Amino acid sequence: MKVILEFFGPVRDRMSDSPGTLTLDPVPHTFDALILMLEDRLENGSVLRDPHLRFAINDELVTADGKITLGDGDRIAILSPFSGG
Amino acid sequence: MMPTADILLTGAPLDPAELNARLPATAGTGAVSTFTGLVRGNGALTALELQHHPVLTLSALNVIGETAMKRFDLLALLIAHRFGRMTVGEPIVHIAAAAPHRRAALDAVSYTIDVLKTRAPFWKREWQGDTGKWIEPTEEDHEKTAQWLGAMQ
Repeated sequence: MKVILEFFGPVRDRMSDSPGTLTLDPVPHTFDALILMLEDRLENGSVLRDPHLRFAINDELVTADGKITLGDGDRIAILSPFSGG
Repeated sequence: MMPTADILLTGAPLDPAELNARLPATAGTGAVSTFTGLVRGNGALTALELQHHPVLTLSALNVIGETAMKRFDLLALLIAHRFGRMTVGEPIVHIAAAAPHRRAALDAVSYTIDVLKTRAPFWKREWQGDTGKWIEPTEEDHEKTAQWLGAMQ
């Protein structure tokens, strides 16, 4: 199953060598499993251990302890800590 | 029916006076409080860049606005936020709250800017010529948000 990766804010620079799409096999069913898989598969993946990062799947924020449902072509956004205003 | 917050997310320059005129005039209004955040001149700063998320940023601003409307019993609330590249002195954000009494109007503006800083998906980068530096939220920013959210539980 292929997913699209999107990075926002400073993490985009830190993960600039990451591919735009990634094949996930097996498909992770929990947030923790997804992060472990991304850490393992991406260059500089350890950056994703930052507890202040937030994640969204198809423009919906996901919680760190939740189950997730991923499908082919889904977009996973990795969001740096916010700094508006 | 409770009025909804007026949310503006734009790449165009903000004009605070023009934005204030968007607040509906109601006979029950006893106080209007406003806050404008500007790009602060800082050494060799040449520009400030604000990036946002194409969907989540507007959703977050709507949630913050609706929460403030209910929490402070507001008659009207405007949140206008820029994205893109700005120069020193340009407004980044403008908030205006109308309420029957001053305390609610003042607190609503404080709440909105404090929570917005860490709950709305924006990313800020300072530019000095061709060199950019990301600005991360501070511990104080997180504490201010936590204080408001804790006080509301």
